Amino acid sequence: MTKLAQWLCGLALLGSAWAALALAPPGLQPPGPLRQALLPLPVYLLVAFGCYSLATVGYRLATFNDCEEAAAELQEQIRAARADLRRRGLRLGAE
Amino acid sequence: MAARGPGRVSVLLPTYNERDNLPLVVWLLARTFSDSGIDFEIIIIDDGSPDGTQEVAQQLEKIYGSDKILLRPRAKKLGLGTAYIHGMKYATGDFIVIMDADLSHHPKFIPEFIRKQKEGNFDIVSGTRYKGNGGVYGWDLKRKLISRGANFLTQVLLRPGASDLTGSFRLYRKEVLQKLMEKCVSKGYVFQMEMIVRARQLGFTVGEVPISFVDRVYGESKLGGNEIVSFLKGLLTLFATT
Amino acid sequence: QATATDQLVGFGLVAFSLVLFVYYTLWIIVLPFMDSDHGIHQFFLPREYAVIIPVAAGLLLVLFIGVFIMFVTWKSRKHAKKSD
Repeated sequence: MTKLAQWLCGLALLGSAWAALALAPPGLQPPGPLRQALLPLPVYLLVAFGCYSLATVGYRLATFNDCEEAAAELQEQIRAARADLRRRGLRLGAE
Repeated sequence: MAARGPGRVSVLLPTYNERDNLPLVVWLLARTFSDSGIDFEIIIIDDGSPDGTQEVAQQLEKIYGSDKILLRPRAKKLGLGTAYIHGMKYATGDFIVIMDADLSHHPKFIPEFIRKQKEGNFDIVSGTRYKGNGGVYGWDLKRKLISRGANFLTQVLLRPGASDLTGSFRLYRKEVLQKLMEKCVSKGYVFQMEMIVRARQLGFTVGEVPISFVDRVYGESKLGGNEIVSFLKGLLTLFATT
Repeated sequence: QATATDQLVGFGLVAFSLVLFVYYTLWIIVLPFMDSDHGIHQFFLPREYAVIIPVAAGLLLVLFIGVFIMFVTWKSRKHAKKSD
């Protein structure tokens, strides 16, 4: 099953569960406040997922390592490499 | 298969106009391998660079010996996937490292890849910028934000079981890479992504090693609207087909 | 270690989404269980907006992405023509 199909299955399952509760005949409906919270639930889940995404991306941005030492180390090694390669007879282009 | 580590490692280096970077990468590779006592060969696949990359490669062949440096050029720019297929024909190692020749991938991580491979007998070891001590250098805030956002989206949609899908610094078991090359059809960023996704589908194991990615020292790398749109297209294609 | 700006923006995003989530949860899930004369109601718009605003924001987002993709495709097509 493709990932797309998995998503569609999950959404269909959730959607039909919600629809069954929200559109139940009046006698079987949950009490007032619960029903009021239930009706906008799909939108609520969407917003909650959006918040989760935003928070995750934000957290990962805030903890994304900036490898300054790695860059400095590389510059150092480039100098050493140039010197060594020239010594071994490599003709390097203009620097 | 027996749990043994790499005997010989073949490094595939696809190049295009890397005259300045190529000798430095080769120098770093040679030093890393001789320091850690690993048998190696470097296969340079140059796509007809007009800047004299091949002349530099020939000089390197003389310096390091033609058993260590193999220049296997192609006539014109033909894309990354076919470059790997082309290079693999000449590879004699049982493990293959693919990496960029622009110094953004540091050879010092290869011994760590090999250690990781032995540890879990993995089929693939992938460098990751997004885990542990991994990271990047030379990216601005916008680029980091887009990168993190794209990575999150990929994780949600594909659940690939690996944290860095668009990176291209990896160690493959040779026959695994061969099998994957037959399956993968995408280009650019998406190609690297497809490799991991297909690998998972085929039941191959993937290990990860944090790497620091230092964006191109010489030359330029770019991330524009075009890259973003083709990334999204590729992501959705993989989402719908795998 | 991330740079100071990255941390500021990143944790800013985290804080913003947390506030948004808590506020919206109160609005959708908690409010129906509060008495209608409770003071908390003065901090929230009428209930229909709890659906209208997110849907409008979502449509705007989709519109923005669509325009972005169209713009990029159009630009690259123009570019390709020129280089022919």
